[in-house]
Amino acid sequence: MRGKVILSGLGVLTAAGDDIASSLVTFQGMVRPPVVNHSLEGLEQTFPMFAVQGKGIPDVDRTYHLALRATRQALVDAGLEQMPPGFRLGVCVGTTVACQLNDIPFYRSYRETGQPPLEPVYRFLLGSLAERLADAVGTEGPVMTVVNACSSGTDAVGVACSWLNANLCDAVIVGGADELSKIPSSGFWSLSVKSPALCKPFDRDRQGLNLGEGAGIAILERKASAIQRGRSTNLEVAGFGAAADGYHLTAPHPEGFGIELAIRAALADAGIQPEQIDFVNAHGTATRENDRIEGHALARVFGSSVRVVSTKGYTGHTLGAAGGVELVFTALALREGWIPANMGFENQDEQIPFSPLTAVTPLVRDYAISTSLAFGGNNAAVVLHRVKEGA
Amino acid sequence: MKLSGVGVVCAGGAGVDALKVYLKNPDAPKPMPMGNKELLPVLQIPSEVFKNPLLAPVRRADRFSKMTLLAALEAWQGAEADLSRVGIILASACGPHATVFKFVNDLLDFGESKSSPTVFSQSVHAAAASMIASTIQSHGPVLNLADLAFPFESALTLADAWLEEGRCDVVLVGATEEMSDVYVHAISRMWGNRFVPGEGSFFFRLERDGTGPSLRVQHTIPDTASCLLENSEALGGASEDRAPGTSFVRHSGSLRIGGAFLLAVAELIRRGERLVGMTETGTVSPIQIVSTCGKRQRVIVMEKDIL
Amino acid sequence: MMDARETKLAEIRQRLKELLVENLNLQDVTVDQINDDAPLFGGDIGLDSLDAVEIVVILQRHFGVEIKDMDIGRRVFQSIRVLAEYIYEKTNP
Repeated sequence: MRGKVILSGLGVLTAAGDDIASSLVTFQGMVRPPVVNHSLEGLEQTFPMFAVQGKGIPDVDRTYHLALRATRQALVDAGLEQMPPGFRLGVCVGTTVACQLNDIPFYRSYRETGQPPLEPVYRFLLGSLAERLADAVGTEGPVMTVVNACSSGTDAVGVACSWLNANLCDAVIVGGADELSKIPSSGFWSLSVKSPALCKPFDRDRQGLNLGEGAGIAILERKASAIQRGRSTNLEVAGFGAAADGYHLTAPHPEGFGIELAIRAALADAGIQPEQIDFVNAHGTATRENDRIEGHALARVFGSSVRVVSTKGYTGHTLGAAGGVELVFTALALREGWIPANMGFENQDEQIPFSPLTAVTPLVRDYAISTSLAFGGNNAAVVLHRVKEGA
Repeated sequence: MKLSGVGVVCAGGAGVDALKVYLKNPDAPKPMPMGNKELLPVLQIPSEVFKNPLLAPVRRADRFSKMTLLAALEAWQGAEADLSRVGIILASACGPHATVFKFVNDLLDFGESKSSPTVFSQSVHAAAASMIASTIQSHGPVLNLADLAFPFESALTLADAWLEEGRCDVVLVGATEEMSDVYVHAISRMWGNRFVPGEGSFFFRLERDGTGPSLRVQHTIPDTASCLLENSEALGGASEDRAPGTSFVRHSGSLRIGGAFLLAVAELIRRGERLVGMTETGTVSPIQIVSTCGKRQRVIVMEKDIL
Repeated sequence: MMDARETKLAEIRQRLKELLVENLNLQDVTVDQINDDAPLFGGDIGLDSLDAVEIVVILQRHFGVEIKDMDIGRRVFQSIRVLAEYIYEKTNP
């Protein structure tokens, strides 16, 4: 990382809580949020889904509203509800649902009547997720919607850092958002990776992922800019790395080649050694493949005593939001000084060289890393740093 | 950043040479009708393009991925690089929507519990670039973006940043847009016959240094006299005030990624090709591509080698 | 002389080959070229994990047969012959 980049604001909305404070309560209490048991047409069995409880988030255009709510939380946290004159604010967010015209009633009507109502098309043409957030916030800075599947939110952090390094803006609204949708619900079912039970990341008996929805947004800002505004924090983005498996459309590289490359690149970018990392907020979807492959890669880089948590046990897999949500949760752990427990874990898988943390655990070091592995073989990792007073 | 390779798939066929022939042909291109009941003329990619033997290894690729892969492979030809430092950026406005609709069709026909995992995997925006990485065996960062206003220009700006900060040694930057029956239906209801939509994929190999022309993206048109190409007929985004310059919309069709088509055109002009409708040739520098969306614009500037 | 069972099995094998070639977009192989006993995975036909889950859907849609877990899938997807026999057992109890 060239210049210092800090996180000057955080916002989050998932099944674990409608904001930062309620999310921390959930983690402290080690309580799984209530789930919706969702069935697919034609199947008797149901699947747990982690829905956002928050009132006032409409079903129509839901991803945008989730993103906007989290964005507003983050801007307030950063003291940016009113922007200083000349302040250049970019928007880089990820999604998998909001980037497509995938409205099922629209398409059903098109097939049946040939004259579907055009509202879904007009809504789609209002702009991409990032474009609409930029309009809502009133900024003219750089704008990008990342559509890298499950690593979108983390990849968005990489883009934001590149923009800040290139001095294209002073700060970036970064993260991701996604609503629950029948399309990935059906798609992940057909790929045979959905669990009919609550997900158990890294557990020997894990059966797959649970879907979730939400938004995780951070304000990344050049430290000099935040100091000038009197809003600096001690949370830094220390490094970022991304790498492609170059292997297969849906299966991750069996040796975790890409995720290991991404992690090592992020550590090198941060200028630190693996032993300086306190814990990993893993991708940890609870599929047989991901946890085994990611687990091996983490053990190779950090050793088998690595401290790992997957927060997907509280939120489900929020797809395009996951990287943003997990960035916020990792930052919170550094800020609060404790790491949430990995829910759902009971028995170590002998194919995975470690067990995740099963209790709320105090932090002992000052760096943490969040990892994401995506469909199509994109892998990304971001290193966060809590800077000690006087440093 | 310097341009070292170009790849094109469009209504004129596959390849920069095909684009050259297409743009020198004095006969106007003929859009072909697409759609279900109401038909709209669309500048479609000829179907024989998809029979290219280079596509045989990607048997499950959809049309969007196939056109993307062909254009990327052409731009990649002749590259020598550390594959762990090769990045890929793919921009699109609407992504693989034909495949999204195919998946929704599946859901409606067979039910949510019997949808095709292959069609689902292809309907994800990240599929096409994933195929490029698998084919060329690159391991650098891959970034897919989907925006309506300036997707390609944002991609170029990001590539420049990656090269400057040393994240990559080579970046393959491209843009792909496809048409489908559903989109044709929506377009004709919203805008009638005002637009002839296009489709295509355009890729550019970029490096930090090199002997090729240099590229940059800015928000205003430079003052210097130069060759101007303009993309203000982007589908649904056409401005009231057209930017000055030559439009190739009769060849590209209306495309939000029209800037990418025009960058390929700019490269042909730089090489000295005299194209239909152009008076300038490669003696002029810089060549500028102006894309407008509402009141905003982005300008891609191509300068020849600085002597 | 083929009995009713063998006739039905032959029909299922033929239909399976057609469905695989069409739905898996197999480029280099025609229906007639697929050997009944050739390994579907790891052999010349070279199917992968995505094809495996696609075959599960093909079985559901076209034969009404459900594969409830992929351990069963790994066992019965060995070859056209083994798969056809599984389908026959499930549809003619």
